[in-house]
Amino acid sequence: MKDFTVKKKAGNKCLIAIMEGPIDERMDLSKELNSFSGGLTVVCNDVTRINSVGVKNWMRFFIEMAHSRVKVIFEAMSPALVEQLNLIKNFTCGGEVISIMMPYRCEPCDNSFQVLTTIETLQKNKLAPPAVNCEKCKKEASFDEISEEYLSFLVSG
Amino acid sequence: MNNLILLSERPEDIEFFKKISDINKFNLLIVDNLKDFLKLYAVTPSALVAWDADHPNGMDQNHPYSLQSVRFILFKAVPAVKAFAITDLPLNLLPDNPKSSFLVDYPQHNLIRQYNDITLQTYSNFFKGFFNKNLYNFKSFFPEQTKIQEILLTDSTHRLAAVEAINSFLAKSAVEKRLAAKVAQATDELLMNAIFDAPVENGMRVKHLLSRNVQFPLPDGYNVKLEFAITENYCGIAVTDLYGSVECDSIANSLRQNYRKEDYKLKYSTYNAGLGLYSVVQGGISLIICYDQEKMTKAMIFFPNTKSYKAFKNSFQITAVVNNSALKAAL
Repeated sequence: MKDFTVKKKAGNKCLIAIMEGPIDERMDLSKELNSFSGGLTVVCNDVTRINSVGVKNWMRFFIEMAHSRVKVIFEAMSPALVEQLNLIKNFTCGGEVISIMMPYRCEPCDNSFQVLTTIETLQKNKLAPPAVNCEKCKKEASFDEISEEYLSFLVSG
Repeated sequence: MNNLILLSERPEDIEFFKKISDINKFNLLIVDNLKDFLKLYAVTPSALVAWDADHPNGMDQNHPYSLQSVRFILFKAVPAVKAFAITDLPLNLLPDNPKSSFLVDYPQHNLIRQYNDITLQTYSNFFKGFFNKNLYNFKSFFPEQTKIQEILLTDSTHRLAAVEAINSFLAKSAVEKRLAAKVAQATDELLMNAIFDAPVENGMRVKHLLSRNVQFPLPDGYNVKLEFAITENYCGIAVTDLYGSVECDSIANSLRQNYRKEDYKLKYSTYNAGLGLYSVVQGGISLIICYDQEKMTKAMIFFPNTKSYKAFKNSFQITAVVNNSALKAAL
């Protein structure tokens, strides 16, 4: 069973926190990220799922960050977290999402994979998922979501 | 006679309900206006009622079944336990939510209008369960030869291992990886509800404020049972507790929220089942909760067995909270 982990490294005037695994009651960000100065960049492409207790813990921590005027940036949000962005309007608690993982599928190769895309790129493309080729057969893969739903946080936000 | 009234003028609703009725020998009665509905319901008061709850002209008061007038009639005449709103999107996303108290005060069921062969199979089993006045039989939701696997949880700390077991089982069964993770998460919510929210003593909830890390035994007679099954077309997971402490109105209220439009407000002092179940349903998974007060609660989730996540998103979805005693009384 893979537990939730946070790896930390110094960034440019910020702490970079790389999250992995499932987010649930075992996640305690206030312990993991208790002393840093400057901003906080959260990289979360490997967050596999988040349960309701995890959502509440997440929001508690990031509300505290907002109260402390820490600039929070979310990078490479995994599909599990993008779903929360779409379900809960205030999920980022004021943090800025700059990129997300986009899920794709190649039917002939039976290959599902994800591609990092910036919000800026999506907005430039009027929220059309970028054309992506399958890593295996190099033919065009299809976006494995309903794009209006998956990117709806960008519309309502 | 198993009477099923369909109040809709949509060809796709009519075609689908004709199919479901032919296969299952239901007596389908189709009406396209409120006057005929009332006449029909007066002579078939034990009928189940399915209605088109998001008709494009439904907000028009002059429409033969405006949403306002149907809601009024349903609320007055038809017990919510046998009413099914048919919609394209979950009920909480109807344009007049969250202003509509009807959606909260009338905890009817919701069928998503995604009609295909798998939907026919799953909705058939669902309606048969209603007509049999027994939705507890998890096995009855699957073809006869389907193997039902069981895990009995005898301690609160078994939960996370059980969730991982479900994730592994689905991944090994070639269910799409993200879907498997989503279902594992949904299972986690059902287990947390059964282990922490369900236990009551002298009418008071006794575990719901505990951290979900806390260890305690689930004593004999109050073990939590996890069942799961997979077929070529769809899968299901059921969690059973023997408290029967579900509050239908409270769950309906949670499911009808729309945190896409309004901020979710953290409650610092309480845990509750609301956000978890909201996420399950909004995530596209079917949820059926059946309960008898102070006896048993069975929460079941169903989802298609697809390799594409998009196909999952475009598939069947049922949401129902069923008070079994009320169902028996109403049919």
